[in-house]
Order: sequence, then structure tokens, then C-alpha cells
Amino acid sequence: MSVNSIGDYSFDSRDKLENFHGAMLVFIQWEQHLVYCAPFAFPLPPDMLLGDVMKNIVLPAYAYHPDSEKATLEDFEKGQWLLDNKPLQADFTKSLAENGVKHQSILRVTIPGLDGLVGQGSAA
Amino acid sequence: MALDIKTTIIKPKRHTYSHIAERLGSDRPASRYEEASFDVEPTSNFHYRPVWDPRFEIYDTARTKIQMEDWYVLTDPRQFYYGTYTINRNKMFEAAETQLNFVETRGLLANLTEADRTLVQKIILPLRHYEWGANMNNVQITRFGSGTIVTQATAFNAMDRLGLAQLICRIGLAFDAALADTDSSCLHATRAQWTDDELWQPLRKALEDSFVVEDWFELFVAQNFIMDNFVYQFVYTQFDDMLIEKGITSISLMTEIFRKYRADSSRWVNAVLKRAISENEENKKQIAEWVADWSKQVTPAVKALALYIQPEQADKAVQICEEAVQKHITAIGL
Amino acid sequence: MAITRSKPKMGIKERYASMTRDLGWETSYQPMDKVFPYDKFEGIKIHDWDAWVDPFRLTMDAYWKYQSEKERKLYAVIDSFAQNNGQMGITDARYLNAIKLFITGVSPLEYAAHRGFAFAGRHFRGVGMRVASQMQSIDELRHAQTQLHAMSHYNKFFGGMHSSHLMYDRVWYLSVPKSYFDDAMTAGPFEFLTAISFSFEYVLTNLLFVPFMSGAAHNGDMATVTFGFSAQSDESRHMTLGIEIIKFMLEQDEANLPIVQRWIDKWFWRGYRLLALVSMMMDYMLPKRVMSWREAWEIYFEEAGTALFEDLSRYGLKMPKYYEVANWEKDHLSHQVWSTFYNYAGATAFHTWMPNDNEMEWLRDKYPDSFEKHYQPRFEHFIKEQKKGNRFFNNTLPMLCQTCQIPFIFTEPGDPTTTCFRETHYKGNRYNFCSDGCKDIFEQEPEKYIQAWLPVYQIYQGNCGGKEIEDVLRWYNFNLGEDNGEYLDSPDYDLWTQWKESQSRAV
Repeated sequence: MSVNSIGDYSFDSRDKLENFHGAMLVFIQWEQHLVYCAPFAFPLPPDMLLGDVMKNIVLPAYAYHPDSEKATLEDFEKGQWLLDNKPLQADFTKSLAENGVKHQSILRVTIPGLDGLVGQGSAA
Repeated sequence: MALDIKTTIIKPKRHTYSHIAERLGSDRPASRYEEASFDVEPTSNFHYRPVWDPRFEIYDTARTKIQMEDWYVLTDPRQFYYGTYTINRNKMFEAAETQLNFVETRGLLANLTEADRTLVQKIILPLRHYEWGANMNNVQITRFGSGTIVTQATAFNAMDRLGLAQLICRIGLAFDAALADTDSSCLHATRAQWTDDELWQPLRKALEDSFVVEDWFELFVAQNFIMDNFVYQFVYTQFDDMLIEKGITSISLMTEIFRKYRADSSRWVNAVLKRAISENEENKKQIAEWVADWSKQVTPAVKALALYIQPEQADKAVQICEEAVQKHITAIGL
Repeated sequence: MAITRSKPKMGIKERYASMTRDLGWETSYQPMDKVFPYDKFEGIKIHDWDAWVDPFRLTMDAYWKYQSEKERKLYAVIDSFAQNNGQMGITDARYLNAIKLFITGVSPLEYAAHRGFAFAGRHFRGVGMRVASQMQSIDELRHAQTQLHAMSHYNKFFGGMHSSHLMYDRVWYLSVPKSYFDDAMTAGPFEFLTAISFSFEYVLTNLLFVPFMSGAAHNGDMATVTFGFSAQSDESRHMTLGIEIIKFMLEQDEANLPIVQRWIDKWFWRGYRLLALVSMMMDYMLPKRVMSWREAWEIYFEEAGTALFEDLSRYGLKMPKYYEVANWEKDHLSHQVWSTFYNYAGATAFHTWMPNDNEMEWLRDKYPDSFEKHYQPRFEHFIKEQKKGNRFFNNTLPMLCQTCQIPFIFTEPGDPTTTCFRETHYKGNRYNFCSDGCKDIFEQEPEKYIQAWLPVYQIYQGNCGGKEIEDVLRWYNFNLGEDNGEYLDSPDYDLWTQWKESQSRAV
């Protein structure tokens, strides 16, 4: 459907890619680790390596979670990934763009065996 | 013991809200008017454009040609916020009701000759529609004006005008009560007079033209300054003087509130305009232009009334009216 | 001379009509459609505006009389509250965080309602509806102003209340209430009334106003109780306007039904998402609790709301879409929201804390199906770390829902362990949503929601005072270390402890 208006009603998306000064908006979540209440939002250059994103940005962000000590960068790379709800074979040596990540994409990762504070089903 | 605590540790950290302190220049206790009025209207980061008028933001200073560095300098000398306003108006309208009741219980309307009664009914009662139009215009400004300090006062003024429209209805009902020989209310005729009688067409035209004015500040000038000054001066002062000269005081008692209201609201309207005019030359020029335009539109309305009341005195009456309005125009700095 | 008095020539109803509806006229120097340009484009068909019957028949003199009496009493109480240091009579300074949320997140909505009802009060061509809207418009101004006055005294002693209107324009979580009301104000006048008068004032108000006001009563906050009590008779008028406008639209033309249903679906979900803030207030912020969010939802929505929609079914209206999801979420909502604000305590103008043992027990008791399993472990972890001096502050910024603007904290209906994601594409761009409800709303009017001013993304675009979080918080006009952060580390807590100690010493 479309809006019912008086006069022309068309505006740019307030969050269009051009507004982010060369970066794109990417959302990342380590699933089941809901001590962190929501996925992170980061403005990231499309040519940044996924491995660098994880190593330098995402893992430090999760540092407060006890599971973060148990998970290495390799564990994350081997984890089960979803990009925009479709399975992804994550390649840490490739850029975000090469991994198929786009503006406003959502990356979700699960590492089997690391299920949060008290194991399966509590999501903490 | 409670005293001990008070003197030792119950010291306020601040005396008012921080945006108020910023305006006052220091953190001192602020008045209720200040806390209720300053900076209440949102100014930035609006989420969506109105679907009914996508040209503008939800609140948009571009809705008028008048430019103010800070809209909050347009303060109301009466310092009305909802509480003080409501208490004040309750008193004002209670007093009016008392006077109306006095006229009714003393049977003062029964004294009028039929010709005078018809004249009064024909001049006063249709003005309930004028008051309703003034209500519409002030509600419009309340939605689209800039700055709570301006729009709360127009909101109050809008409700005043509804109250005054209803008071005219009460005057009509007082006439009804005084006249045992008719079955229908004299109010029934007013709308047809307002819409069809030649007497009212120039005023109705001016008012309807104001309904479609886009610039809210122009509307403020047109309604609250020009049309009101002309209409109130002519009807509630000059016409009333004429009735008193004829020995008719009952009408004056019933319409006393209109003069009180006008004196009160003029103080605010003039203060707003005077300050806006002093802001810059462009404002002054623009407001002067609106004043001239709307005076031109409303003069025929007054003339029509004057011709109806006393054709031979009409030119003089209009001239007196124009002179009285001119005093207000001079007072605001034009 | 004899006083001649005839019998009244008008009955009460006719007399009221003469003072309202009869004031209007059909304009002819300007076409009616130009004088009233906004009341047709929404597609609502009105055949007889005079069929609108004002349920109150309140003339202005009566209005001023009632309202001025209430104002006199209210200000007498506010004055004596300040003189007697009423702030010391509350249960605990933690309570005031509910008030901070109120003055920053609710009072500005009262003001927005004032302006929104002015729009309705000018732009319906039916005079009766205009008069009713105008009265509500100034009532709403009253509420905004009395709230500023009632809370002014607390502001003198406690943080988080000093800049409510600026914060409303800028602070991230306040974009939730702001976008809600901006959405209503940018809609046409019929949708505005459906949104605010019906969906909010009539269907959901008991879940906003009542919790705040009874919370105040339970926690010794006489200032808030008094304005709440004083506003009650205004509110009942507003609620009546809400139900009457729905009936009016539905009675005027059958073709109005699908439009009204779509609006009710939208505004139920918009309003419900807004109430997420209230749920945490009820379950976590009140030192002395009134009832749980779950109980309130059951009483005020599941029971009362269902009865209402059963009653309205004679017009063909159905329960709002996704009400089942809201019912399911009642076991989770407040805990998920409180976790979020605990995460982001560094960036809020109120304090958060972890519940004490008694409160944990209350939560287990009120939420037997969810709390112990899903939320207690999280909270125990927070408490354990906090005791070690490692209070959790989430230093990242969250992903936000394009419609309701709340971070992605909600989980899949039926599965409290998996975050719920929905998406859509519009003109080559991807948009993300926290729920089917929010996604549907976007898809009805994508042109509108792509404009949303989403605070996190605005920070990243460089529009919020600077690159560092601290710059942003300064731009929010926060007094750092005073307005934000953990309650136990706050000046509020220190001050309260000091007062309580000196009181007990004096005793």
C-alpha cells in the first residue's frame, strides 16, 4: 500500500547509504547471549575484512560476557552464520562486501556449545 | 527536629529547569508562567512530514513570513498559563452572568421599543457567528504558530471567543425570556441574517477570506488586531454609546464583558505585535502591509453597519472608528 | 412595569446546540473545501455532521467553573507539598526514576496532544466535533503545564528532570514516544482521533495513566497523585470522545469500516509498543509495587479490551491485529525492557539497578512461567559482577526498529531465547523491524516511515553533537554522573541516604 496524502509525498530515506560517509550500517548479534539486550549497530566500511570486524570491534564489544573468554576468533569463523536470515559461509579473510553484507544487513552467529550463562534455553 | 533537617541538608541543587535558568540568565526561582511556557514546543528532529501538508515540518517557523530570532520574546503581559487563565475567565464570565441575570430579573429588556429591540438584535446577535469565526482563526494559529508562548495565548483566546459566542446566545435567550408573545427563539434568525442579509456580507466576506489565509501571523494581524479592533470599537463602544444616549442601558450591562475582554486581550495582542515589529525592518514592513490590507477589507463591513444604524451619521461613525483603530496601530509602532 | 417571562423557548439539548453547532455556517465567499481542506482525503465518508452528539454539553462558562475550581485546589496542594518538603515523604528515591520517565516521556505527549487537538479543533467541518476537540486541546495543555509545575519541586533536588523538552527532541529512547506522537500528528484528523482519542485514551490509557497514578499513591508521591486525581475528570471526557468518534465514523458509512479497522490495528500496536516503557516502570521502578504488568495487561486489555471489542463487533470491528502477540509477551516484556535500560544506564536520564532479594521473589511469584528460567540468571550475573565492582555498561549502540524505534530486544513470539527480526524492501533499501506489527505498519505507508529519525543512526551520521558517546550525552544536556548511571552510585541515592540518616538520628 502507499500513503494517502495531499500533494506529493516523497522523501529520501533518512538512513540512505550516502549519509554514512562511506560506511554502511551493519547489525551483528551473537545469538542467545541476551545479557547484551540487542544486536549491535555499527557503521562499517564495506571493504573492511569480516575478520577484522570480529577481532577489533565485535569481540571486544562482547567482552563482558563470560562466554567471550571461551570463544576464539576461529570458533567464531567456524560458527553457524546467518546473513539476512540466510545461511552464510563466513570468510574472515574477505571483506564485508565480499561476504555479501550490504547496508542495513544483519549478521547473526551461533557457536555450538556456547549457549550463554546457564546453558541452552535461558538466553543470557 | 524537622527544622534541623530543613536548615542543614535540604538545600535545593537547582531552582528551576535548566532551559529556564538559561533564559533567565541565572538559576533563580522561576515563575509558574515561565516554567509552563518556555521552550515547551519541540523544535527539532521531527520524524515525519504531515501527510496533509508535506511542505512543512510538524512545527515549522517557515509557516510565516515573520522572522524572530527567538519566538519566546513574544510574552503575554497577562502572564496567562492554563491555571491563571482559567481562574481569571471564570471570574470574568461569572460577573457577566450576574449582569445578565440582573437585566433579566429586572425585566430591563421589556422596556425597549420594538424598533430598538430589532436594531439591537440585528446588530448584536449575528455577531455570535463572528465570534465563532474568531475562534476558528485562533485555533488555527494555535496549531501552526511558533512557540508555546504565542500559541498558548491564542489557545486561550480561541476559548474566549467560543465563550463570547455563547454569551451572545445567552443575550438572545434573555430576549426570548423577556418576550412572551413569540414562540420561537430570536436566535433562530441570526444565521440567515449572517449569511444572507446585506448588512453582514462585507464582514462575513472578510472573515471567510481570513479562513484561507496560510500565514498564521497574517491571520493573527487580520483577526486579533484589525477585524477585532474595528468590530469591537464600532459595535461595543460606538453603537453602545449611541444606545446609552438613547437611554438604553440594559444592552450596555449585558455587553460589558466584551469591552472588558477587548481591553484585556488588546494588551496581549498589542504587546506581541509591538515586539515583532521592533525585531527587524522586514517584520515591520510586512505587518504594516497586512494592517493596511485588512483595514481595507474590514472598513466596508463597518460602513455597512453604520449605514444601517444611522445612515446620515455613517461617514462620521466610520471615521471615529478608524481613528480609534489608528491609535492601536500607532501604539504597536507603525 | 410588570416583568413578563415566558416559558423557555428551547430545551436543554436545543439550547446547547444553539451554543455550538448553530454557530457554524456554510461558507460561500470561500468554498467549504478550501476552508476545511483536510477532512476528506483520508477517505472517511460523513453524510451528516450533525449526527455527532456531544455527550457532555459543556458550555465554556461551565468549563471554566469546573476547571478553575480544580486548578485552585491543585495548586494549593502543590504549594504545600513544596513548603513541607513533600519529596521526603516518598517511599524511596528510586521511585523518582518513574517520575523522570514521566516528565521526559509523557508530559511532552500531553503538549503534543494539545497542538494535535487544535488541528482537529479547527479542521473538521462539523462544529460539534470541533468544540469537543478544542476542549480536549486546552485540557492537554493543562496537563502538560500542571505536570511541569508539580514536578518542579522534585527537579530542585534530583537529577534527570531538568531538561525534559530538549531531551524529548534528542534522547534516544525518547524517540519512541516522540515518533509515536509525530506519527499521529502527521496523520489526517480522523486518524489522529482514532489514534489518540480511541486507541490510546480509550483502549490503552488504563495501562499508562492508572499505573503511574496508583504508583504515585503507593509510593507517597502526593504531588503526582494530586495532579493525576485532578486530571481524572478531564480524562473521562477524553475517553468518551474516543469511543464516540469511532461509533460516529462507523455509523456514517459502511465504507469507513475497513479504514477504521486498519487504523485501530496500527494504533493498537504503536500504543502497545510505547507501553513497553510503562511495563518496566510497574515491575521494576516502583519501590512499592501496585500490580504486575502481566496482571494489568490481563485486567485492562485481555478482559476489558476484549469486552470492548465484543461490544464494537456489532459495527463489524474486530480485535486489533497481533493482540495475541501482546498477550504472549506479557510474561516477558518488562524484564526485557529493564535489561535493556540496565545495559544502557550510561546513556539514560534516569537510573537503573538490580532488584533486591524481596523484589526477585516478587518477580518469581508474579511471573512463574518466565522469570526464574529466563531472566533471573541474567540478573544474578549482573548482581555478581556489580558486587565485584564490575557494573555492566553496554558501550555499543543497538539496532533499532524502523517503526517503533525500540532496540531489537523483543524475542520471537513463543520463544524467549531468540531475537525477533522482520524485514522488508522498499525502493531498493532494506528496512528492519522488531515484529510483524511494526512491519505491517511500515508497509502500509513506507513513504512515511523511511523518514524516521532513528537516534542511533543519526549519531553515526554525525548529527548528534559529536563522535564520542560523551559528546552525544552532552548534546542531550545530561549532567554526566548525575542524571545517568547506576542508582547506587548516583547523587540521588547519596542525598536520600543522607536525609534518611539524619531523620533517624533526629528521632
